[in-house]
Amino acid sequence: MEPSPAQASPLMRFGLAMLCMAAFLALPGIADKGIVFLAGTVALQMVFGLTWNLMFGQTGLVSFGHASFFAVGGYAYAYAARALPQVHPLLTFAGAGLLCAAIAALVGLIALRRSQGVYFAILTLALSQIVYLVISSSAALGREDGFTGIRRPKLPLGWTTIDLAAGNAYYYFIVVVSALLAGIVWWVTHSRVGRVFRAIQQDPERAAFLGIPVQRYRLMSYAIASGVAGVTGALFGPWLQILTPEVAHWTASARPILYTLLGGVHFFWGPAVGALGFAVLEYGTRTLHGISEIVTGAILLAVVLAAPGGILGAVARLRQRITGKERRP
Amino acid sequence: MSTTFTRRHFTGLLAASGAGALSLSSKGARAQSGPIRLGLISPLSGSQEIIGRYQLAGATIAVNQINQAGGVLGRKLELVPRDDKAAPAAGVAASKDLVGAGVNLMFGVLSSGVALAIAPTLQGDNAVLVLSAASANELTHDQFSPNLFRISDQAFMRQRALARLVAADYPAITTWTAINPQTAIGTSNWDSFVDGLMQFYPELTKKQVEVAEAIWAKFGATDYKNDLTQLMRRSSEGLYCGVYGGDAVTMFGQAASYGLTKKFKVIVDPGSEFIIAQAMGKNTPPGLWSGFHWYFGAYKGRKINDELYDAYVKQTGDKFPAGYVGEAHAAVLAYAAAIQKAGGTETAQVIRALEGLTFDTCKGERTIRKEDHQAICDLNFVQFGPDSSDQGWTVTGHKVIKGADAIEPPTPGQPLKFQYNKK
Repeated sequence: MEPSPAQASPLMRFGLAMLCMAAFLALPGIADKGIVFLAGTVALQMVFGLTWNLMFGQTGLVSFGHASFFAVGGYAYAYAARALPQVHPLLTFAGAGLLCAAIAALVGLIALRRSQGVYFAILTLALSQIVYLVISSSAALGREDGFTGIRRPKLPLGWTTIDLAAGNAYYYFIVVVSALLAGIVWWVTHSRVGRVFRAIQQDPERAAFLGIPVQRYRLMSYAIASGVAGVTGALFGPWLQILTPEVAHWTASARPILYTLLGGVHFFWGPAVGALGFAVLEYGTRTLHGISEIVTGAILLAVVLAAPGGILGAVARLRQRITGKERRP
Repeated sequence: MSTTFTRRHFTGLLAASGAGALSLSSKGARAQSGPIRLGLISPLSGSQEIIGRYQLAGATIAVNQINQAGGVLGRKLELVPRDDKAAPAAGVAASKDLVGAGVNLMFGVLSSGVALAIAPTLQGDNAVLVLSAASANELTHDQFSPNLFRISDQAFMRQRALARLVAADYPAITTWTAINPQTAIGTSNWDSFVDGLMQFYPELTKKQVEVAEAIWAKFGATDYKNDLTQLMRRSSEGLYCGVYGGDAVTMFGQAASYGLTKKFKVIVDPGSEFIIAQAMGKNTPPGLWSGFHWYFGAYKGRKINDELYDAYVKQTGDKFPAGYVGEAHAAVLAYAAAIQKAGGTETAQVIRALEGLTFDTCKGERTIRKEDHQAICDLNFVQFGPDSSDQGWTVTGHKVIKGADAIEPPTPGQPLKFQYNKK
């Protein structure tokens, strides 16, 4: 999206992103363990949300099965880390992401050719159910009871080795890697490729008429989004130290969609803001046992109805009202 | 039925324990004289909430009873419930939330997946978790944690005790088969039961037992027709119905038209408790044996049992407390006894006190083994049958088997090994 007068300048947005990361890094010093654990999970969910919107917001692909890549990445890392402990953990994390990107490319090659819109959405939902069933019936992956005992690795860096199992080391690792992953998604969105993506999102037929190979770019966005989602899943395994099939459940696939709606679909950081907002809501209602879902749902509904552009949309309108400038159409 | 435990009762219980939740805002700023806070981790929303409410009820009753009797070390107990949604990530978040708020003593947990997720975090967080339901064998074997205890039974001992029961009571039934869900716990339950059959039939009846290949049904299936057709072709006389909970209700509902309950002479179930009978009413399979965490009827006349039962009925109006009520109650009693013995609530003190602790509960005395932190406790089984009453079913018998007769030797850190079932 082009920066509009109602939106913050690129420099200011970069500053806000850095401030957000600094807040994450400072958290263990000021907050209790419960909040730090949630923050680690939220950092991953923010990136996970960004990857979903890389497809939807950029190329108009709606996936109802995005969590299957989170799960495949998670289980692939956990399995590989146990089977091949001598491999450098960064390679294993990257490998999990590449595997997901390869699977997405393969699936997309067939699925994207045949289907679009709601058909693609249903296809991805079916794919995620297959992943869910395979995991929950595979003895090697722990079936319904989950893949247990996933260790936080030791990270050899040449000059030194960081033990990620010690203290909050893994938390900092998650925050730094999440920032890098968000940076990759940002870079893709704002590169030439990102501009092509947006052209497709606005009007695929016109884009094709202009000579853009629409399917190839859609496939690219699907593969990149799935690969990065796979890495977030891989990072999540050692964080929780167990993975259960629920990470591949369709309710997990619904989360990035909710994040995007809550944060604002037309904003790059929308899903990240949405994930953060969602986590704050869940944390705030955690002691309202039995009615927390109802309260969370009601607030989400209110936000979506009152602010169709999500939280960031509302903020932009507020800025617009204050500065009195018209937003470019 | 007016005796069921409604959402209103549940909300009432939450209101009663609400003070605990609110008090968390004043984090960690408590002196030794303040209340002793115990964190309950339980599914308080979602599909497993029907069981979470039992845990909450049992824990609330125990805390109230202890406080009325003057508390522990002169301090009141305070219950701090947290929802784990029966999901591992939410369970770890709940446990970290409690630790962050200064609650180092936790208990409850229904799902083994949640327990397995929390277990490795306990040492780093300097907290204790006393399990009162999760039954996966690994928790006191391969995934043993020095900060984890289990005061309830586990899959291995419960299923072997069930095998001992059938060997002793039905010596003529020497051919067995099963219908099981395709889950890890389904497999582990069945393997443990077979292990028991292979030990106890020769020991008690001097006969060899014949075990036919089990039928593996999909977990959460809605259609059991193919499985039932296969089952009807089996020549075995005893049926182990490993399909549990809501799945068991679905399966038995469809089995009625096949005459399944007439075909098999004995039917046993690992642990659905009242669920099958309450759902099936007049169609309850006659003679069905079900495993229980705690069956109140087996301990009538015991003060703790009767007071718990009366308090539960008074609080909820439900006359059939599930075993989870008794186990959550017992977990609070375990902490009370350990804190009393230790003279304090520090994690290391409480762990030392829990190791080897013998304490009294609604289902008799239990002893927590020092080696693997598994309690040796009674195993309860109840037999159901249809009758002409309004509810349509009745308890036709019950059995108590001593835990010492069914439990394996402690091997913390090592996977469980079967002695008899060499697959």
